[in-house]
Amino acid sequence: MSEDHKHPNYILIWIVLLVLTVLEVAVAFFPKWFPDMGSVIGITITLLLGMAFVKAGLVAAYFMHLKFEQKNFVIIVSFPLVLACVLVILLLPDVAFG
Amino acid sequence: MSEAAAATPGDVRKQVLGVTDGKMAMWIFLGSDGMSFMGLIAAYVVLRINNLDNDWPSPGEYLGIQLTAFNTFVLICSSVTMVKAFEGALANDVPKLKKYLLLTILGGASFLGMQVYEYNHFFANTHGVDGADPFRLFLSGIWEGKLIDGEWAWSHLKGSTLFGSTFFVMSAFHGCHVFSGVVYLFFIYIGVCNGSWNKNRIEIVGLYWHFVDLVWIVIFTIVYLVETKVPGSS
Repeated sequence: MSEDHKHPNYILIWIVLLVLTVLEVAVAFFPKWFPDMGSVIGITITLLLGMAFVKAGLVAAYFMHLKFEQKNFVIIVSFPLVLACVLVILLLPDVAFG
Repeated sequence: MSEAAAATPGDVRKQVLGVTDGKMAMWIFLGSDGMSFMGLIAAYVVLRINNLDNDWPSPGEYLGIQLTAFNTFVLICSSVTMVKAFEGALANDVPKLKKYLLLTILGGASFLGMQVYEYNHFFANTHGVDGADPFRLFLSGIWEGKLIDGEWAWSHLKGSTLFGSTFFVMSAFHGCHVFSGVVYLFFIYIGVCNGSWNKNRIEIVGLYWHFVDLVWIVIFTIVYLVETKVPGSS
């Protein structure tokens, strides 16, 4: 139960989330700041999605206490994430041949 | 009888996952809700990639990134006040619980207020200042305006219908979640004021609230921040 775990440092996680948000916005403006670097777009998209993934993971792990739940419970509730990935992968042919 | 009961292991059909029924139910709901969002996100990604050649507009050009970044900040802060409220609930510290619940409600309400401001801007606005072309982002697209003989002439951008409708569907679907969350939190707050609350309820409303925050982090990134247009290629 949640009473058992030590409280994580929420303020630290808050600061990490805010720093990542600021970084995200900065990265989003890269293509504008360096207009001659056309190829930078792929990098910015990867960076942005990576940071969003880390932020979402932090929220789920600490704020939603997933890090402190039993393993089998975590597996069950993260299964929709797997299904969501399947959903996107199934749509990829539509992108490739669309 | 009681000794025999103590000797036999607990009924494995109960408490296998170590969570309360209510918490499990909320997680099941969040799983299905997450799938709804994922369906929208997947559709958005496919539509956008398939329409890159068809002049998918640059989000930074039409959406207010600074305002929404601030909105994201507000939502993240309200998530932190929610865990603080839960901390208060765990410690049976009712004043702390009430204070942070109220702050969370305020954060959610501010988020909604800013979203309304943003939408209002899209419906009615003249985005451009000092000679720049104004625009409108209607439910189904983008119009750019030009002043011709004292009259505004609106032209509809190619490929913009999808931009407008996908934007509104995703942000409004999320906005509805924030609204429900604010109402949900409000009733929980009333319960706390009346003394009818428990830690489990606070934790469950917290789960919902953090989920709404989590989804916004993803939507903000994909809809507002990701640029697919090479600068200078108009």
